[in-house]
Amino acid sequence: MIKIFLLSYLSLMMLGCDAPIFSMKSNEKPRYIAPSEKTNFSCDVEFKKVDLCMSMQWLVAPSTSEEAKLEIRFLEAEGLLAKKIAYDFKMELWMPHHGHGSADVLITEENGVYHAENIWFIMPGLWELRFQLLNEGQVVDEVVVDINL
Amino acid sequence: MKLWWILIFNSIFSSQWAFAASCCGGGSAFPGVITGDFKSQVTTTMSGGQVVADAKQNGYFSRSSNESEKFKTLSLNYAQRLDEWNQFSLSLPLVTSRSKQLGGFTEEDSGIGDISISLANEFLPELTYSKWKPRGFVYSKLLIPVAPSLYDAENTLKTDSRGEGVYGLALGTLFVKVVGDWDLLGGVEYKYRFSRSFPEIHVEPGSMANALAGAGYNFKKYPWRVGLSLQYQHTGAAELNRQGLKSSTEAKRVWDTSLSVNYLYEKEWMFAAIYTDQTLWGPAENTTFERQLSVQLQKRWSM
Repeated sequence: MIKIFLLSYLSLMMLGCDAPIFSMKSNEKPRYIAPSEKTNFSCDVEFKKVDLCMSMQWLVAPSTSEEAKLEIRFLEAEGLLAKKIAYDFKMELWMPHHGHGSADVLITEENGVYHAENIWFIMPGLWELRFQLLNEGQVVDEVVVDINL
Repeated sequence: MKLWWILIFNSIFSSQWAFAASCCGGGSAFPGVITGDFKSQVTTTMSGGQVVADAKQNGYFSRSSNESEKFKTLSLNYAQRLDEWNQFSLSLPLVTSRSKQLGGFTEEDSGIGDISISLANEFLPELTYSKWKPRGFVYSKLLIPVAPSLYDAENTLKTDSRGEGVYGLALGTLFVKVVGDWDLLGGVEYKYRFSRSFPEIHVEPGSMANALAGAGYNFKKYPWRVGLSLQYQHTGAAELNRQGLKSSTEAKRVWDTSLSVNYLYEKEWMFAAIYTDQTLWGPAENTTFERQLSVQLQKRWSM
């Protein structure tokens, strides 16, 4: 009985392993993780110059059918959530093959959590998400993420 | 024979129309040309169409039911003969309207489009009958960007983007030959586009090239013509500089297939219906696919 229980428990543990995290490498199609699936925050985007990690969570996944919404958290060393970062945060959309962007992304911050809204992918194709950290208006670090819709 | 020439030329130059292309698709305009014994003509065109698909690097994709992108245009073309061989024309998109729907969000905008001014010369007139020699025209066209473009559009879904945003100078030539009840036409155009700086971006646009081929059938007893044409448009890559960040776009290619029906009434009035479809021919690259229906009315004044 105990063996059956242990086997069942181990099987459930294997099945419950986290799915691959949202990958920020170019040319890889990202998987959009809903809040209910993500139980911890991991480093999705790395700002190497300032030694900061960014965790992304799509509340509304990117598509050409509706406004996308993104929740962002910053992680310091050892994966600790940063309540406050010393930089201004900016995000913009760009279509490199067509040479145009989209509407300005609106970003609000509350208790260290950044909410990005007004994200409109106005047509299908390759999009670049540009995440920038600024200090007094100057870009300190930038990471580009590709999304192909 | 003169009646047929009127129908042919009006169908040629009316079927190749500059419909709204906020980004990546759209056709090209051959300028309005007067033929026959007329000193001037005015053409009014109403067009409506929509984007139905997109050509991406990994294939062609239809738009979903949650996406909608439509456009309407009311435009005016005025052509005036300067002398026996030279002509001038002005194209003015009076109202260019574009609407987009993404999910439950809808946006619409309208306004004037880009203006173009053309000069044409009949360098190969038909003075005597020839089995093989066509009529030939050469023209130049200046595009004046008066409407917002993708580089300075302010609306969320960029529906206020109605123009190219840059000045363009085109040179082109067109040949037409009548063989019995049929007419054949062909032409090429090259447009150089000038660089321009906007508040947040400097653009060095790619040049554009067009090639056109078509044929039509003219009914003997009635003043009707039915025509079919195919036009290829290539747009070169653009170089962009956004506050020090340099990038290049990809080149675009698209094919326009047009079916036109023309009717001439008492030699001074011409009616036309033109259907243009960008999904029928390929390969296409880095562009949207559009379908458009146009209705045209033209009035001429005799010399």
